[in-house]
Amino acid sequence: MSATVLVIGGGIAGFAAAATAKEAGADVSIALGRAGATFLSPGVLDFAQRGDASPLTQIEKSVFSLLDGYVIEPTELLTIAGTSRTADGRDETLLSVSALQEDGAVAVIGRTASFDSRYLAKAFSATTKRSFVALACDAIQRYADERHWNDAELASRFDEEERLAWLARILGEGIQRSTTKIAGVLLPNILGTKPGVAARLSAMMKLPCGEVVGTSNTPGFRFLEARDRALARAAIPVRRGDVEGIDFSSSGRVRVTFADHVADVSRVVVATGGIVGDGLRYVPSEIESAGALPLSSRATFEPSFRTNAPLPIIAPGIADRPSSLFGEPAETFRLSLTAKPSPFLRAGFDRRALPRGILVAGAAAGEGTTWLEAFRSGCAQGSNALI
Amino acid sequence: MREAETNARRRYRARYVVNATGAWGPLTAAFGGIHSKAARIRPGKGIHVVYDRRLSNYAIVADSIDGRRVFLEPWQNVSIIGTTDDDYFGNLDDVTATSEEVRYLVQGIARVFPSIRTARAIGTYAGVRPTIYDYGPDEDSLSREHLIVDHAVDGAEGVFSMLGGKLASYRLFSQEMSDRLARDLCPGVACTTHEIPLPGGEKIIDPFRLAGEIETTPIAARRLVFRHGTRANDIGVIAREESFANTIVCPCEPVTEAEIRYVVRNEGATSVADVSRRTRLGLGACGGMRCTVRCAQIVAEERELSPRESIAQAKEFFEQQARTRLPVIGTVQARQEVLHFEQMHSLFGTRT
Ligand SMILES: Cc1cc2nc3c(=O)[nH]c(=O)nc-3n(C[C@H](O)[C@H](O)[C@H](O)COP(=O)(O)OP(=O)(O)OC[C@H]3O[C@@H](n4cnc5c(N)ncnc54)[C@H](O)[C@@H]3O)c2cc1C
Ligand SMILES: Cc1cc2nc3c(=O)[nH]c(=O)nc-3n(C[C@H](O)[C@H](O)[C@H](O)COP(=O)(O)OP(=O)(O)OC[C@H]3O[C@@H](n4cnc5c(N)ncnc54)[C@H](O)[C@@H]3O)c2cc1C
Repeated sequence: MSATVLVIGGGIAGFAAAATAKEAGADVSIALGRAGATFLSPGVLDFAQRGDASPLTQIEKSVFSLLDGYVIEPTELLTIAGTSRTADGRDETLLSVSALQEDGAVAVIGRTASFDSRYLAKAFSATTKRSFVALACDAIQRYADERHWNDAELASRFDEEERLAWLARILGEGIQRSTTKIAGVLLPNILGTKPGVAARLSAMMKLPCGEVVGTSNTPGFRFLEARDRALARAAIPVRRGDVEGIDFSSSGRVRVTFADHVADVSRVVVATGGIVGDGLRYVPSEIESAGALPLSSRATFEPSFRTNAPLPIIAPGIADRPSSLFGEPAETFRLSLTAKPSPFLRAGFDRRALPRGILVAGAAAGEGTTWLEAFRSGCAQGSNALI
Repeated sequence: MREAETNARRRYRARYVVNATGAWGPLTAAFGGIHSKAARIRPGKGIHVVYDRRLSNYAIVADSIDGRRVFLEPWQNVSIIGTTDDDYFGNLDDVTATSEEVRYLVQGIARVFPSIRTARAIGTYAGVRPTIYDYGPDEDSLSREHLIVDHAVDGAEGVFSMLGGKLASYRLFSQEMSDRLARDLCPGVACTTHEIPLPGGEKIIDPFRLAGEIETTPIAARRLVFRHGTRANDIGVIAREESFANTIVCPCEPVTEAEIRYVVRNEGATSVADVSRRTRLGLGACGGMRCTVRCAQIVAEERELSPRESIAQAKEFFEQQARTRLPVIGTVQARQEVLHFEQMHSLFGTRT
C-alpha cells in the first residue's frame, strides 16, 4: 500500500524529502510557500561533508542528480570579501578556482555596488596563491541606468541569449588586449537567474567563467528554477501557497489547511525551515508584553502555522534566556562570527516528541546549518515517511 | 599619549591642557596626578532605541512608569525613543543598552503610541552623561549646567577640566573655555565664534542640482547635503571624477562611495565604524548587511591596508552592531539577524 505524503516547504530539505519519498514509491505531493532560507541564501554547498561525514548514499546521489546546476566535490571558491574559501560542492554558476588550469591568471571583471574588479584582483592576488588581473574592459552594464540596478536585476538580463553574446564579445576583446594568459573569468552575481548561464558563457569563451560568492539572492532564484524543473521531471504534484494549519485526528490522519483547500493525508513532512525559512518564529516576551512587565522574560519560539498537536520546540541556548533581574542578562549572549552556530539557528521541532504521522526535516528540525546538511536530513525523512 | 592606531607612545608638552573627556573627565584628571574629586562628575547612563523609519512626523512625549518624561522623535531617516537617566557605576568603555531599559522605554511610549510594541526596532544607542556631581537628588533633578574647573587650585597650573553641559550648549561651553585661554594667550582679541558659520554651513546647497551633476538619486543627494552642507560639493567632485564613485554602497541611508572616500581622506576616518559615525553607513534597516564588506574595502584602499585588515574591520563593525541590536530583538529582527550572520559566514568561510 502506498502512503499519501504531503511535504510542506520547498527548500532543499523539502525537495529532497519529496523526491526521496517518490523514489520509494509513495504517493507524494509538495506544498511550496513563501520565500525561505534557500531563496535568500547565496546557496553554496559548504563544509558539511568534512571530517568523518559519510559519503552520499545511492539514493542521495540519485535525488541530487535531479537538480540542474549543482555539483558535489571539494572546491575552492572566491568571495566578494576578497578571499577564497573551501566548499564541498557548489552551484555550478560559481567559479571553482580548483578547476582552473595552473598556469594563467584569473580575469576579474565588472563593477557593482558590492564588487570592484580592481580591488578584488589585488586582494585575491594577496590572499591566494594564484594571480589575478582586472581586465580593462570593465563594462557589464550595457545602458547607463543599469549602473543603479542591483545584481539580481542585472542577472535577469543575462538570461537572454543576445545579452550573453554581447558580454562574451566584450570579454573576448578584453582578453585579447590583455598580455597575460587567462585561465578563467570571475564576475559578480550576474550570471543569470536560471541555471546554465555560466556554462553557456564558458562555452562561448572557451574558458571557465563563473561568479563570485556574494550577497545577492540570484543563487536562490536559480535554486527555485532547478527545483521546479526537478519536481516536474519526477512528476511530483505541486501546490503553491502557504500552509495555515496542521491538524491531527484520532484516526491517525493529518489534515493540512491552505487558504483555499484542505488536504487529508497519512503523513506530513514539515520542512518549513528554521527562523529564516519562517517555519519557526522567535517571540521574545519583552517586546510583545511591554505593557505588563512579565515576571520572567523567557524567550519563546512558536510554529508559523496553527496546529492542534503539541509540537515541542528545542532551542538550545536562547529559549531559557532569563532577564537580568532574575538571572543572567539577555545582553550577555553575543552573536559572533567565530563562535558556533547561533542559538537561533539551532532551534527546531523536537523530533523525539513528535506525534504519529508527522516528520520534520532540515532547518525546521535544527538540521539546517548548511545546505548539504538540510539536504541529507530531507532525504532521511523522505524515506522515513514510508515506514 | 598613546596613538590608538599604532600603539606608539609620545610625550607632548603644552602650557595649557584642557580636559574635555566628558564622563571620563575624573579619570583623565587623575592621569595628571589631580585627585579625581577635583573633576568630579556623576555619570548618568542613557539609552535610545532606534526604529527602522520615521514612525511619526512630530515628537511625541509620554510619562513613563516612574513619572519621567520620555519621547518618541523622528530623527534623520529613523525614529528614536528615549531616554533613560540612571547613575552608572560600570565600565565607561563598555556601555550597552539592556533589555530592561528597552522595556521601560517601550512601556512608557506604548501608553500614548501603542503601535510602538510592534514597530521594528533596529538598534540601540547607549552613552554616559558627564553630569555635574551632586549627592542626594535623583538623576532627573541634577543640574544640566556646565562648569570649567581651573586646576591651579589643585597645584596643576594651566590644566582645566570642562565638566557637565549638554550637546545643545556645546558652542557656548567651548566659547567660555576659549575665552578663558584667550585671556592669557591673546589678550584684547574679541571673540568671533558667533560670526563664523560651522564648517559646511557657509551657504545653502541645492541637492537636486547636485543629484543631476553627480548622477545620483535626489534622496542620496539630499542626505549628502544634510550631512555635509557646502562640503557636499567637494564630495560631488570625487563622485564625478573618480570612476564609479557615485555608486551607492549603503542603500539604506544612502551613502555613496565618494562620501566614504571623502571622510577617510578629509575627516580622519580610519575604520568602518568611523565612516559609520560620520555618514550613518550601516545604521539603517538592513544592519550593514549590504555595505559593511564593501566599505571596509574602500577604507583599506584609501589607507593602503591589507585585505586581511579590511576583513577584520568589517567583522568588528558587524559584531559590534549586532551587539547593539540584541536587546531589542523581536520576531522579524531575529530572522534578519540569522540571515545576516549566515551571509557573513558564507563570505568569510567561518561556518563550522
Ligand atoms: C544568507 C544565508 C546564507 C547561507 N549560505 C550558505 C552556504 O554558503 N552554504 C551552505 O551550505 N549553507 C548556507 N546557508 C544555509 C542553508 O541555506 C540552509 O541550511 C538551507 O537552505 C536550509 O534548508 P531548508 O529546506 O531546511 O529550509 P528553507 O530553505 O528555509 O526552506 C523552507 C521552506 O519552507 C517554506 N515555508 C515556511 N513556512 C511555510 C508554510 N507555512 N507553508 C508552506 N511553506 C512554508 C519556506 O517558504 C521555504 O521555502 C545559508 C543560509 C542563509 C540564510
Ligand atoms: C542617551 C543620551 C541622550 C542625550 N540627549 C541629549 C539631548 O537631547 N540634548 C543635549 O543637549 N544633550 C543630550 N545628552 C548629553 C550630551 O550627549 C552630552 O552632554 C555631551 O555629549 C557631552 O559632550 P562632551 O564633549 O563633554 O563629552 P563626550 O561627548 O562624552 O566626549 C568625550 C570624549 O573624550 C574621549 N576620551 C575619554 N578619555 C580619553 C583619553 N584618555 N584620551 C583621549 N580621549 C579621551 C572620549 O572618547 C569621548 O570622545 C544626552 C546624553 C545621553 C547619554
